[in-house]
Amino acid sequence: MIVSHDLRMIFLKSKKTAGTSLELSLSSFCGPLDVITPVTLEDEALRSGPGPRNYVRVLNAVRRARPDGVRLPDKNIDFFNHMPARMVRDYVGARLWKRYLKVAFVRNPWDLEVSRYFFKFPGTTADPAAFRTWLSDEIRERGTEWDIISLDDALALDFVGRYETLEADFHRLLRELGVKGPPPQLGRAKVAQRPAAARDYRAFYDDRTRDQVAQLWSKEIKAFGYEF
Amino acid sequence: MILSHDRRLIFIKTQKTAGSSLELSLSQICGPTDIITPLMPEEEQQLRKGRGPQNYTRDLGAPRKLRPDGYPKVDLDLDFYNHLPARKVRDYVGPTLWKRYLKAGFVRNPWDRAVSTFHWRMRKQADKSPAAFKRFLVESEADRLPLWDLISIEDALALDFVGRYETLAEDFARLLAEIGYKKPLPIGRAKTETRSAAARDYRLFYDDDSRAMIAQGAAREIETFGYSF
Repeated sequence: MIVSHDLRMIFLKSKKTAGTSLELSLSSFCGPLDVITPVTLEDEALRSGPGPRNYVRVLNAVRRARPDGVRLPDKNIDFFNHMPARMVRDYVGARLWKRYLKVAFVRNPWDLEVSRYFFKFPGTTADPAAFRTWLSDEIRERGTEWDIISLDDALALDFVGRYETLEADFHRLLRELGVKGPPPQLGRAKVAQRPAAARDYRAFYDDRTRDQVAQLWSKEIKAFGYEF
Repeated sequence: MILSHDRRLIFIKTQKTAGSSLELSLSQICGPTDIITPLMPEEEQQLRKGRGPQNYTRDLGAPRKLRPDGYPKVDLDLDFYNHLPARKVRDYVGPTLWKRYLKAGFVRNPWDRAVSTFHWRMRKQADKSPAAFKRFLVESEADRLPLWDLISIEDALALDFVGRYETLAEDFARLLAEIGYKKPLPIGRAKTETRSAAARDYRLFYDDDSRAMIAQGAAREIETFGYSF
């Protein structure tokens, strides 16, 4: 999650949408007062520009530090990576929330769930049956991620980028933010987790799991017009 | 010092120009991510209404010790603090916001300001005679009052908006208009009881010698803002 006063932008970090890569690139345009939440230890090593800053909200707060010295946010108090839009608005106040460009990236949910599976089980083979077993179990316990990008159940974004057109949409975002000069290479965090044979997400689903995903992600599917 | 993203304002706090009073007002129209540096503990406890000191410790270093009113003490080498000079503010906020936000500060007739400084610093002493004032000037080197250093960078004025203590209410209203705040906002009242009514006319405190000391020490202000004795 990024709140950039310099860019007049709030980047809400949805899950499995290249959010870390986007943040690593966007943070290179951030100023000293901007809020940049930490990414994982491994991903933090890929960052070239300014690192995590201004995300601890309480003066004098003591937070546990990771081996790289980055202090871990307190999720009840501080800014943190996948925080819901509601919290961001409360923390930045109504004026900035209204004035700044609120940005997030979205993704075909059936593709996203396959991506999540390979992220959770790195190195695993492309076995649709194993995927479906995992998904059916897991999806029952999981809530939606709609609250990261919505307020009072309405979409909270001024700018929607799509994972399917990541590079082009990232460039469009930079133009919208008024960033001049050639766009930087988009970071490559958490890639190479998914085997090439698993590119086509459709092959992983049967009717039941397909409907399960459709149900859990119904709001995103409606808002962004995704189809199986 | 106040930096307001909500109001796109950087308020540089100069000494003896009603800075605390103005900050008590401005902080009421700040937002949660704005930087508000702490006033003195007594002022925080008795005078602050609404939003108080926040976001002034920079995200570095060890936890700060606490003041009597519970706020972390500022680290003068790291943090934002009340009389932070413009050059440091610029370094801390970066060029983009420094350029974009309205940089405002207040100035005051330097001869009057020196008498005000004298009354403030010597507030616990009874002797407020012109002789005591002159001794104070010599001993404290108060003729070299660093106001110009706070509002200039490389000897050039760094402010977009200059208000004057002599026309405080009017200029504060002008500042509010400039940042687009349309409702009335009364000026707070801090440190107001330190100078007696009899001491209002600053000229009575000077002889030719002390008058020249200020003329020399505050030459850049006098020249830039057109003050005379």
